[in-house]
Amino acid sequence: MATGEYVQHYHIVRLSVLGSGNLRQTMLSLPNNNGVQREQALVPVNLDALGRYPSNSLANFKEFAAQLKIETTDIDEYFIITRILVFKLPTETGIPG
Amino acid sequence: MPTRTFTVTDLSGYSISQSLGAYGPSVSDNNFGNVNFLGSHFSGGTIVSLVNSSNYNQVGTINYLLFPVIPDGALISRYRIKIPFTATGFFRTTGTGTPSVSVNVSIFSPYPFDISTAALIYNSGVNPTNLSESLDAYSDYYDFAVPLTKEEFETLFATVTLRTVISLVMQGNSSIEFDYSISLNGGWLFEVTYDVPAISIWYKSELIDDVYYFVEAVEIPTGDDPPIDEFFYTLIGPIEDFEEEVWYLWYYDGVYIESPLNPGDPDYPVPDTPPWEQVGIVAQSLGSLDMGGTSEVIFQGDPSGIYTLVPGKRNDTLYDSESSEDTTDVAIPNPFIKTGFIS
Repeated sequence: MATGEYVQHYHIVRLSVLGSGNLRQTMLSLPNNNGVQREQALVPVNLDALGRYPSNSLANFKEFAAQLKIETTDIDEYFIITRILVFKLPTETGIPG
Repeated sequence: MPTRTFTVTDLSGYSISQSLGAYGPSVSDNNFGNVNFLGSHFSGGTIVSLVNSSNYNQVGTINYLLFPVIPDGALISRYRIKIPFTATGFFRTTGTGTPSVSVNVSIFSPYPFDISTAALIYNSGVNPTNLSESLDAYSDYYDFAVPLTKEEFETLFATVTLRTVISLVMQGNSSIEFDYSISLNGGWLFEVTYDVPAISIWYKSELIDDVYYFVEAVEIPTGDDPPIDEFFYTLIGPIEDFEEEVWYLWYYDGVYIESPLNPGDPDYPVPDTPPWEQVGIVAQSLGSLDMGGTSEVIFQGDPSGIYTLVPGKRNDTLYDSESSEDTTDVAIPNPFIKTGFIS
């Protein structure tokens, strides 16, 4: 599906990640004129309990475009990400017609 | 509820008017004119002494007019005054009959007020002692509630207007010739409580100046016989200890605050300015207030600004340049990554 002209529904974030601590993920929209982005915080991933499986985080974020912010906040937390996969589906079209 | 006991001999706060009517047939006929007694007559002791009064209609009257000191601007919501009373009547007669001596206490007020005689304590051992005409014609209770027994009198609680008279009649049976002493001992003679509509009564108005009470004494004898050869009547001592309680009502910030302030009492000083003119702290508390938690000191010293790379290290370390052994590990401030925009 061609991108850019659809309102997308971002619904799954899948990460191949190693590390320790709580990995915090946030969906961010395109910024407005003031640089403010609409945010949606996803449920933090406990990296210590993740093991060898990828993490799947549910999202419910509808925007023309979105970016994913991943961070840790506490001391001695770290993460190593080898793969980021964001699942989305187009819901509305912006193509005139 | 604090009360204040003060000495009447301090007359600075009171207006006193006394009259002694020696020959009038009633208390309202003071032919003797006004005689002013000041000072020592209020310290106790003999108030009036009538000797060899062959005129059996002789009436002596003493009025005490006491005005409380009320600060300007105060409203009186309740005014209670109790008079300690110890009276000893002595009369000698050579005739026969039933002479009596009455002690009248009158209360004048332009406002309706409640009078409670619950505080009345009199010596029931005096026989006979009777009460009559406790409330006179100015009382609402005159027609149907004249207590005649001690129990009735003590439980009387009447609302009266304008005037009431409490009479204590000391009565003794005489024979041919006898000396008879009778006494009412101790306690508060009566207790008056004004519950006035405070909003409508302002001190320094014309109304409040009319609130007073006085004690009437002594009327001897009643009836035609026997003639009294000698009589004296004594108020003993405790008139100087009468208890006064004034409740002031302050209007402040939209509400009326009732305060048992007593004039002249250093424990309850009258404010120089009414509360509604006072500006200051209206609420003060002790303790502490936590404003969202406490801040933690993570490092004390002179940080060096030199970074040391340590493999596998997951935090930052602050080094004190003055003491190389003093280090503090702190978290790396929220390391994060961002993807590009996915569309």
